[in-house]
Amino acid sequence: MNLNLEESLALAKRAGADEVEVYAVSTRSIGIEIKRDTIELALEGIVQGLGIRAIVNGAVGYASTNREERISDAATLAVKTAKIRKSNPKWKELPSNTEHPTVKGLYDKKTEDSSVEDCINHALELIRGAAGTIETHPVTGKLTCTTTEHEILNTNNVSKREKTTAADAFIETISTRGGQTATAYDFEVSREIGKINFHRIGKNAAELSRRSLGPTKVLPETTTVLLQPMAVADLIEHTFISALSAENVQKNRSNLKGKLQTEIAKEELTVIDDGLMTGGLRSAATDDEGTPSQRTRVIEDGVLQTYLYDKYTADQDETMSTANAIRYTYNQTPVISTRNFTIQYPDSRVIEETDEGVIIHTLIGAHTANPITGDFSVEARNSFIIRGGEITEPIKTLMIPGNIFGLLQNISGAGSDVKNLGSIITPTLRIENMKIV
Amino acid sequence: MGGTWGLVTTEDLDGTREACKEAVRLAHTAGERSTRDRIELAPIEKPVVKNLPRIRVDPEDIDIEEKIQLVREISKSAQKPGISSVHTVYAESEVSVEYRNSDGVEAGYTLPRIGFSITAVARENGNYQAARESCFAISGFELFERKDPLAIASKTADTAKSLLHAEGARGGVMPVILDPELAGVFIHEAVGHAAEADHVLEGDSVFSGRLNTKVGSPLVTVHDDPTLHEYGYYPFDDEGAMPKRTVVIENGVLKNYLHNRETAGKLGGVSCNARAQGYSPPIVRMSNTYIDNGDSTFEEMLEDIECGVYLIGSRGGQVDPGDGIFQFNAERGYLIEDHEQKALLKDVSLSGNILEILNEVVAVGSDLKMHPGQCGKAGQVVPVSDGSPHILVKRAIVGGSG
Repeated sequence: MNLNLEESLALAKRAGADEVEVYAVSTRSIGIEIKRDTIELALEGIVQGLGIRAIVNGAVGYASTNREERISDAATLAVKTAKIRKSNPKWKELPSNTEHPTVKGLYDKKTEDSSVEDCINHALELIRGAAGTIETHPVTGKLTCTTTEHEILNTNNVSKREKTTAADAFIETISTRGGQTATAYDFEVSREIGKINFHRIGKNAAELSRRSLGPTKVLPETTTVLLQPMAVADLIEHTFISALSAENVQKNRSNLKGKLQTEIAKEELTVIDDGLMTGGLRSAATDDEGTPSQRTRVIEDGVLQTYLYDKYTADQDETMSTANAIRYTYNQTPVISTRNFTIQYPDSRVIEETDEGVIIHTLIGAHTANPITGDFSVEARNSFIIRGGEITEPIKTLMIPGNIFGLLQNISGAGSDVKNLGSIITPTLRIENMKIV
Repeated sequence: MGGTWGLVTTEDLDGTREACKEAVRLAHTAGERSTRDRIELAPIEKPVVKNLPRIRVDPEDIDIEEKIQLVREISKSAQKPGISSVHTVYAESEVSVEYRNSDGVEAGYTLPRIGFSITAVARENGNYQAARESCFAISGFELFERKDPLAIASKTADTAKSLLHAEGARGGVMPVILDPELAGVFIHEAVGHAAEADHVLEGDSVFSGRLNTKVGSPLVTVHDDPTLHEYGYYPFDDEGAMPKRTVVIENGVLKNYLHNRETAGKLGGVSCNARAQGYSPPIVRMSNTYIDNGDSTFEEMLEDIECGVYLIGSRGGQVDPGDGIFQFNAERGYLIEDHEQKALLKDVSLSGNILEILNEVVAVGSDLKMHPGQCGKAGQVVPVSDGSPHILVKRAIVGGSG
């Protein structure tokens, strides 16, 4: 499919749009899937398509297609849907800034050139990593290697094309002893396939599932809880991010409304949403509606500095977009989400400093949290008792109820184990006075 | 090829021939490096598309302005005093499936799906509470006559407002009554996933090696039935197999796993649960999964509880089928004290171990109700439904913020 973006733009303009934006994406991917201790499936695929956003009297219409011969229909439909909607006097304009920063480390030739055979070798390395641990074998795993080209064009002269690569791998392992079982999971993601340590992913998961065998029960109490990076990211993603969205604030469904420049977290906490991070998985020259990327200080010394904006919500608050318009697919309009959401807290030897508490590797059910109130009640997986500064026995079942806004005020430390989980980058956080059930 | 699959996806219909060749190459390439046992696909009968749901009003015949008007009215019905935000989504889709395989199977069908969801947020003195209802079906536009969307929207707003004054649940181990929606999520998450034969083969299911053994209370019977015209219905599955009802648990005894052709070829069993999102690989999935009716009444269940919780609605759940650990969240609940429904509770969740909780089911109602939903597994999302009558669980771990 050879998509002619200028032509789509002109078509929609001719159909009666005041402004038009075209977003096109093409992703080529190779995937290798693992079942138990060997390879089950190799896959190759290309996804490509374009979406047309047309604005008529401030009302937005959208249509998308993955077929060249339907582009003209899509352009007409985008305009038609905009015309049906009520005019919106609050609409100002699409982004018009045409100067873009350069971000490093987003494309890697070796990743683009990786063959199915190369990927199979990496997958076997993943399996070997897990195989070295007794009583343990892989359950399932997957390696994906993608090359993406995307382009944004609008009638305000924004025109940007970028090519990026990414690779990720995960494995889940199960350990068995007697009639008992325990599972664990680990993954890594990078713009460069060469930076992923496949063996280590397998080894980490296998050792963790084995260490989780033979768990003890714990009684409900209030204690110190150490949330490891995956648990922090899971919780933040499902309880906190939506409250930062300017759209949710403006629509009265955010707990952070009216909290700008107030202390919402422990003083030592700083959060930077970085669209310019070298090699970041959410880095790019612009966001997905063409606003130049930037580094946004979201929380500084515990104080909320800004919400996350796209162009439209920024215009409503008479401020600048923070370049947080994100698209997960070409067939939907951009939504407000994070770039590389980086959690910073002074690090120390958090485990050694903890006399009594629990440490939690992963959570189950974070997506069931209440994104408006920030209340959650989640089950911990691969959790252990900490006694005298040491990780000891695994815990059988552990539920942690709480509220993210309360949790942010109760942080008392962070590890030096910063992990990049794709869109969230965080160390282990230590939380005081958490309930466990 | 041997024990491995090759899969190529393309959106270029003219390139199908090339894609087929490339898929064979991938299967070979992976096969050379894999020690996986040879795949023997279970045989299936050729599909005959029949008994399709009857669609009365094709959504395409309704003008888009009428649809926008409907969304406005639904929103308006929820915009009451005290409600700070209303979010309404209308969605319709029509999916056409064409299936071919090298055994000469050729079949196709088209199914329309339609529905709406509404989220209402209530605010009072900086306290926010949200409630969400949705109504989706395999149906035409007549869905909006069958269901009263304005009443549903109004009720959602009332629920959000009432939650402003709800208490946080006190966590602990206690008896619980689950309403049909939550019990449906429970049976889907806690039982359905563990009964998927791919998990069993991976050694990642607490049901491994337990066929024909007792896994729960004799009151519990669980079916998966893709022939029902509920949200998880299909005329044939994504490997071309005709839908059939599977008895997963009968009177507490595990009877069958759910299969695709590969797992049925390995373990024996009937293959009719292969499903794929778009052109992803078809894997073992549920369809319409439910706990069958018993004969208890809600009042009898209350009689049994001195101090416990009645859990209502669902915000979703998750399970680790290998550990048998599950967690899910109710939208709201009521405290039960001295056999009576008392204070409203918010943000209450349930977790535990599949096998333990199935054994703790001490009463099953006779008011089975199905709910539509979306189920994610291995990165693929497919439409499903799940359901149950009210059930009483003697001992369960309840979590909450109170």
